[in-house]
Amino acid sequence: MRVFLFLFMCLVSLLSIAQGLDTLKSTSPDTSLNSKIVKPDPKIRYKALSISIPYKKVRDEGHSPLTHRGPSIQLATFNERWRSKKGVTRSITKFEMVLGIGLIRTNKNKVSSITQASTLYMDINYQYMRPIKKLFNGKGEWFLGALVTNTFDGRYYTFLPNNSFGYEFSNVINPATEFTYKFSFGKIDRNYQIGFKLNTALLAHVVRPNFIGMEPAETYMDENIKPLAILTNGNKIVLPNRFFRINTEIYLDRFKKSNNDKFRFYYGWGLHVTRLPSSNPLYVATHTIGFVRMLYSKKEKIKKIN
Amino acid sequence: MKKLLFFLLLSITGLIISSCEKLFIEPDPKNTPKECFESMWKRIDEKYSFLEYKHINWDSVKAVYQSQVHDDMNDVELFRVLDSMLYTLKDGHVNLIAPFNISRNWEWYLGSPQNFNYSVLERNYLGDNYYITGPFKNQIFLYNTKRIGYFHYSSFSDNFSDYHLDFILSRFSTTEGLIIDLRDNGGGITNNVFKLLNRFVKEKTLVGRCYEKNGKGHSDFGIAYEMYGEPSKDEKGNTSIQYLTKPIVILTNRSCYSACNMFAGFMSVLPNVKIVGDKTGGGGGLPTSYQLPNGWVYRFSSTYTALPNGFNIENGVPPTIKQDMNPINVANGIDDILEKALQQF
Repeated sequence: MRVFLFLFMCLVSLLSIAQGLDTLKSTSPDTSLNSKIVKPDPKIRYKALSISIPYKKVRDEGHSPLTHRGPSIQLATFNERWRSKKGVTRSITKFEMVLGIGLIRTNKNKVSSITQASTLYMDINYQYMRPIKKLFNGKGEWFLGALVTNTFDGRYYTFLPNNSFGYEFSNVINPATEFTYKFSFGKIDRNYQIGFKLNTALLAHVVRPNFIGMEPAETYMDENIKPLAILTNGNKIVLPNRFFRINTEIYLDRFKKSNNDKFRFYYGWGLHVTRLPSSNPLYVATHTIGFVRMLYSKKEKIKKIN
Repeated sequence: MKKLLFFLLLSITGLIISSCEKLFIEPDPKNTPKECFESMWKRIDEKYSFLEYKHINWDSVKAVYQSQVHDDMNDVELFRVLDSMLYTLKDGHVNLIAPFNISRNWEWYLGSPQNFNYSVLERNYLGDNYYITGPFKNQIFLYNTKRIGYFHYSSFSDNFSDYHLDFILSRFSTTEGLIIDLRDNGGGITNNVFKLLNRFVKEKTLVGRCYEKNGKGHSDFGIAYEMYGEPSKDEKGNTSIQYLTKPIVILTNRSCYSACNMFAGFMSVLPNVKIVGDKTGGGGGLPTSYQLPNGWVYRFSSTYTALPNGFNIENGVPPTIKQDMNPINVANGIDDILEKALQQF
């Protein structure tokens, strides 16, 4: 059953990733059966690279009653695609990959023996948003949508002799919303946009072992299925009462008027709590500041359709 | 004005949400001796796997040691109290690790004769032409015209390859029996247990069951993980070189602990295997570790292992033939346990 659940959620994740990868491809413009020259809606895309510094507070009660905290380095890349029809934006899709490493440690003022752990996490996210309403005479906009996140969050507690490796693997469906507002300052040759994003977990598939020690499943399983057994041990599909996660982000974009490339500065905050009945709880709070360089591309093709 | 209010509202919402972090993440427990004592006592109460098996009244233990803890004691004094409390568990997998000391209960072997003297073994039995194949010191003994294979494996932490085992078992293919000397093997990596075991099983064989402590009650264990020995195969899918039908004698003493104890227990399931020497030291639980509010680390057993007949190997695997080493014989260069083993062929 565990293996089935795991494979099913992997399939869902793969489908979402495939959909994300699809945004990297070009699609055919809206065609007409009439033999005439049509001007399809332009394809607008942002390709982005991001560097940020998350400050994490982690309390994994499977390993320690103490909060370990510290900075990480996070690199991300995403591809954002705007679909429009007759000049009106219909949807925005975003495919994002994130990789972060860091070091967390106990507060030296509170313990007589400082301990530390290294962290490694990877996210593959796919987001779909639709504009719902224009605000403030068209300068502001409200979006609603959903985000599918596939996350591996691992920690290596070097000070624990037997159960030093802690990890959680999750596939999560998150409703999401975003508000934006564009503005400019008189003669300055730049446009600006501020935005606020929020998403929260609705349904999660979680793999979190109970970390009682060297897992019997890991120790004694047949070598051929051991990797799968390790991944599926502690496998659950849960609601927010068991897996709660909320992420918010406030950002400021600066556009070049000439080519619409963006430079984004953002502050993000996230809280994540996993409370499975079979394992000790995990609490993670993250404060992030980061920069994103977003390269704008707009292609307009004139095609003769027969 | 409307815009300003809107974004002000959003910002305030963001701040309120981010401040609720403290509602979800409780502050760290206080770094006081009393908190440390309470934290350790509770964790052991809920997670340690042998309180019931060893008939330990953990509430009584608390009553005895709690009164010795007060908030103005120093680290060394606190360590002594916690060490004494953990000592009552009589478990070699239980340790308290502070920057200045590591507590342990090594009664399981210190209270018994050592029953092993490597110098006697090397000078009077192995000679100067024994092979060192990976971690295995091996030799072929001639005893009453019989050729007996012998290897000593000193730690399951020492990894070995299939080549090492293939070489040794090929070398012993013409012998009439095998002695596996595990004396003073303090355990190590459990994967090595199965890697070695698989060379001695004819077919997939149930050798034991492991039970995981998964609830707060002293007898709350999950379903059994069944453990099997299975003939190992090489890269081409062919069965690796094995040692199956001839008699095997395993030499043990009280310093044979943890993974070594498991190996001895699992091998005892096989019909052609005898154990000669002293009872193994025990250590049938897989250890887990945790932290105290002051940053110190402690570990303890969180599972138990039983043989297919239900025998719990936490306190050791008894020998088929009990044999101690006589100190006078040792002085004369005689290894009584090895001599007894040779007599079995």
